[in-house]
This record gives sequence, C-alpha cells and structure tokens, in this order.
Amino acid sequence: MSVSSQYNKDKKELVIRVTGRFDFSLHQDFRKVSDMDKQAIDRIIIDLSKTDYLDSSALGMLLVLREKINNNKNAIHLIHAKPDVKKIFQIANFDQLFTIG
Amino acid sequence: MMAASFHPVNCGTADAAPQLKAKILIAEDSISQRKMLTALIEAFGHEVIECSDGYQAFELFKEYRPDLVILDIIMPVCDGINAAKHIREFLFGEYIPIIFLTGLDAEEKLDECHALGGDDIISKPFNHRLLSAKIASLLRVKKLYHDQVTQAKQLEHFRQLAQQDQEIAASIYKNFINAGFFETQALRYLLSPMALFNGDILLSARTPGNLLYVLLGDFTGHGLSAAMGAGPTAEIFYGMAQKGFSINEITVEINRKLMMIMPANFFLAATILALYPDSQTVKLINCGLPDHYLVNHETGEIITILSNNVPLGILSSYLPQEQVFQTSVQTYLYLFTDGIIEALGEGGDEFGTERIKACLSVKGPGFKQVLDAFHRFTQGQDQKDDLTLVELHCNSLNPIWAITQTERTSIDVVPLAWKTSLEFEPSALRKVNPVPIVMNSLMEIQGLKAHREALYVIVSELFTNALEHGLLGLDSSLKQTPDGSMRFYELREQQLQQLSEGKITISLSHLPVSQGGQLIIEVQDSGKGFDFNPEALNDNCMDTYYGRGMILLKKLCQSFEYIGSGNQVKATYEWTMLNTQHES
Repeated sequence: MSVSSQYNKDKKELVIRVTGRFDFSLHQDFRKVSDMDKQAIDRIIIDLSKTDYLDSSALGMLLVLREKINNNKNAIHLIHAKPDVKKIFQIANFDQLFTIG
Repeated sequence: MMAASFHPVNCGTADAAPQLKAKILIAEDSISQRKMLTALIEAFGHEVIECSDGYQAFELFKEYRPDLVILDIIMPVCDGINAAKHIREFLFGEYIPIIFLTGLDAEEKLDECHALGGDDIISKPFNHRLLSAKIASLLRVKKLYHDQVTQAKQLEHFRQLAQQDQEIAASIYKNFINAGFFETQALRYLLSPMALFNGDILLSARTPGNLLYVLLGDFTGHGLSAAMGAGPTAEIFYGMAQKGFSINEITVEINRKLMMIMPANFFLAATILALYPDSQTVKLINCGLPDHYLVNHETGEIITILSNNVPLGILSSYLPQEQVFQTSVQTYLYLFTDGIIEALGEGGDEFGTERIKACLSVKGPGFKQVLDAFHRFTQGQDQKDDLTLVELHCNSLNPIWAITQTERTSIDVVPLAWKTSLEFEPSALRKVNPVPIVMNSLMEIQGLKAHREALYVIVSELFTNALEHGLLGLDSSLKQTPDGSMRFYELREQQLQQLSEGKITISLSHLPVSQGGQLIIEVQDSGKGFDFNPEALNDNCMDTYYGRGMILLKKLCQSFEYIGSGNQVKATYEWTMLNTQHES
C-alpha cells in the first residue's frame, strides 16, 4: 500500500499513483501528496492501474480533492481502474463527478 | 557500551554536563568510598543524597523520591538487597533504576542482581567511564518507561472519554431512528453493527396516503463520525413522510441538509423507496448502494436494480433519477449495504452477488436463505463492516402495512364553520409542494385525523391536475407507457422552471351539518381549462395511466364537479360524528 506522486511544472499537472488497497490507512499520505497550491495545478491524474481495492473513505478522499479544485469535473481524471474498482465508481455514479477513463 | 556511544559523557572532569540531570540516592557504609562516589556523580552534574545503610536509604527514598538508587550490597542494619526489596514494594509498579555496588566480581553476580530487583551491578573499585555510562543509560530507560506509562494513562483516559461519548451518541442516535420507525411484517431486516455505533441506517414510515416509505443508508466510515448524519436524515425522512412529501422531495432535502452540515469526504449512500398500493408499483431512488434485487418468487424472475444516482451530500443541486417497477403478490425486494457483499470467507474471497442471487432464486422469501448462507460462508471470520440486509414484501394488492379499521381512532370533533384560501404563484410552486401545507392546516384546524388518507388523496389529485394540466398544459396520454411517464415528469420539471405567470388557488370551507361536517375543497388554476366530459369517466379508465385520479376522486367525494371552462373544480367531502369511517 502506498501513494506516490509526480508533478509536472510545465503542464501544471499532478499525477498520483496508488498501489495496493486504497483505504483509510492512506489518508495521511494522500493528503500529503495532494497538499499543493491549487494555483499551481490545472489537472490531477489519479493512476489506479496498481490499485486493487477502494473503499468509501477513498471515495471521500477523492471528493476532498475535487472540492479543492472547485468541484471541476474535468480537472480530475481517474485512469486505468481495474474492473472491481470501476464497479465501485459505477455504483457511486462517480462519472458524474470526475472524468473516468 | 552502546549507550555511551549515543551520549558521550566526558567523565572525570568537573565541567561534564550530562544529558539528563537527576537526583541520585547513594547508600554505602564506607565513608571514603561514599565520598568519592558522591564527588564523582556530582561532577557528572547530578544531585546526590547520601546515607550509610539500607534502612536510611529506604527512609530517604520515600522523602526525596530520587530518580536512581545506588546501593552497596553489604551494609550494616539493613543490607542493599533488603533495601531494594522495600523500595520495589513501595514503588508498586513504578520504575526507578537500582544499581548494586559489590566488591565481588560483578559479572558473576549479574543474574542474582536482577533476581533481587537490581538493574545493574558495578564492582569496586569503580571504573569512572563505566559508571557514568551506566547511570546515563539507566536514566534514559527510566525516562522512556515514565513517558510510556504517562502515554498509556493518557490513552486510557481518552479511551474512556471516547467510550462515554460513543454511548451518549449511540443513545441519541437510537432515539432519533426509533422515534418514528414504522414496524410492519412486510419488512424484515438484520442490522449488525461493527462498532457500538452503526454507519448503516434503516428508516421506515407510512404516509397519510397509505404508501410505505423505506430508507436504507450507509454513511462513509464507521462509528461515531459515520452516524453523525443519521439524526438529521431520520428527522427529515420521518417529518416529511408524515406530511406526505414524495420520496423525490425527501431525497433532495436530505441531500441539501447533508451537503450543508457534512465535510466533503462524508456522504450517504442510500436507497429511498415507496410502495404504491393503488398502482401496485414500487419506486426506488438508489443513490450509490450496491445492486438490489426485485424477485418474483412465483416466476423466479430476478430484476437487478442498479444505482443510478450520486450518493447524498456531495452535489449542491440534486435531481434524483427514479426507477419504477410493477409488483405482484409474490414480489420481494432485497436491499443490501456493501458489508454483506464484501464480507470475506475462509479462503479470502468475497461473499459476492452471485451467491446472493443463488439464494434468492428459490421459492418463497429468501431472507433466511441469504442469512444462513452468509453465516456458513463467513464462519469464524472477523466482521469488517456493518452488515445490513433488508427484505421487503411488496404485496401491494393486499398491503399489510396499510392502516386498519381498529387503528383508526375516532376523535371527538365538534364540527365548526370556517374557511380559508391559499394562493400559489410560480415562484412558490417551484419551491414548495402545497399539498402537505394544506393537509397540515386541515389536520390542525378540524382534527380530521380519521379522514387523513382520503383527504390527502383528494387534495393531491386536485392540485396535481391543476398544476400539470391547467397551468403547465401537459398531456396525460404521455403517461400511458412507463417511458412516457418519465418523459412526462421531465417535461413537468422543465416547464415548471420556465413558468413565469399564473397561479393556483386552493380554497377550503367547512360547515357543520347534522351529525357531522361538510368540507368543500375548491381548486382554481389560471390555465385555459379543458373540455371535460363526465360521462367518459367510466371504470375502463382504471386500466390506463391517466384518468385514474378522476375515478378515485369520484369514489371518495360525495360530489365532484368541474366549473366554467374546466379550470375550476369543486369537491365535497362529508363526514359524520357517529361513523367517522369514510366509506370508500
């Protein structure tokens, strides 16, 4: 379980990668990597290719991120989600809140 | 000597400054040895209390409470070993390091020293560097121990506070939820909270129009924080259901409230549903709960109901998408929160939806089958989430939740003469549903509680007609198909938002008549009216999606008539004191 991030200054783009279980235990780490000046960010990409599982507190963390960049649906991209994780997004109808793909 | 390498102590020089300044008690019967030891330890920067036997050592210990004790093993009156024993007994679990001094070979005696309550042993004559390092290291151990005990005490204190808070909150939570919970045999449920406090919530209510409303919800997380939203949710649900608001309106209101009070990472995944006995349908709004199953146990047909809304408390404006299904005598609805589906079995795999569906494909209600299979599957495993399972018998043909004759209370009502009138313009119509407001005034003024359902149906049918057909000019025939129904309600919402002028006036007047009262409800809209044809209202209309409202009105009211161009309608409802049951 870990969170890593990469910031591209030219593109003003932050890529966050979550490995393993994305749940409450990542709360602090996730907050740390996403704690940036919002002026410096145009786009956040959450790479879920290595995420095995996601719970409701993870959904909550994504919502906090969304609130941070003014609930802009196009600013957060959730990419490469595995089928189990996709199913959770689908149940919560997160496609209405984030760009999924 | 590890300690020394971490904390180099410049031994033997008078200006040495130790890391931890301490109070040290020395008991040594040889004056020369004692003076030398004292000078040395004082040179390390510590404060020294000295004495010459074990008895004095114990007395001084109690008086000065030193941080570390150095005892000669062999002393007159009371030797070092006895003194150590007394000190340990006195401390009762608290930790103060004790070093024994011995003239013998210290290494051989080390085991014995530990058995007698010492932490270390130093042989005479002292090696200054060794003594300094041992004192420093034992003082650090003492500090570590002390910090750990303090933290454990704090932790225990917080644990008790948290426990107390949880208990208080749990009792408030229970009161909120149970205060209005409507128990009926149609509803079977299992709520098995993981913590003392549940993140899952189940509410049930019967409306004045004899509909059954159920809300199943799952708050983010568990325990206290999760249940914080339960109070407002239950209050809104019960309060609005009792006044006859629709589940769409209740959903919007719960979302609004949660949005307002909860932080961004908190939300409520929930399904709110209504059973309609008249049309034998069930309407659901699933906002982020896992698949539900609507099972016809006669035919074995299983319909999977997916979530098609965002959970509540996330979006600032909310337009619930509803799903409507026909029900029959053997239709059962099964609702779950994710705790049941995600529970792990012995092999580490999830219980999953396929196992649930297999349990439901049997004849007869599947509640017990699912539960038994679940317990077999998770045997011996720790529960990781709140578990909630709900079974609802959707037999709308003969609804056992419906109000019974014996439940109806005949209240002594003295018929009064009064009248009132309410006028609603587009801005008001967009914001409020006038039906509950009118119903409340009726119940408050005349106490017509025994007639609540009938009056509710009359008022809401009249109002709906005035709004949908009179003011908005919508075409009822759209509602002939379920798809058309959806389209109809979309149009209704759109046109209501765009409506700039017009009004609906609802007038009520009541007159006492012999042995009872007569209530006249008049509804007038500013629309252009329609070509009404009373003869067309035959029982065949019951088969269609529209026209049913008028048939109902005809049955409930003594008289029912359209006036003028059809934009005004007058319904007369009579009741008697002797028989408060309205024949319908």
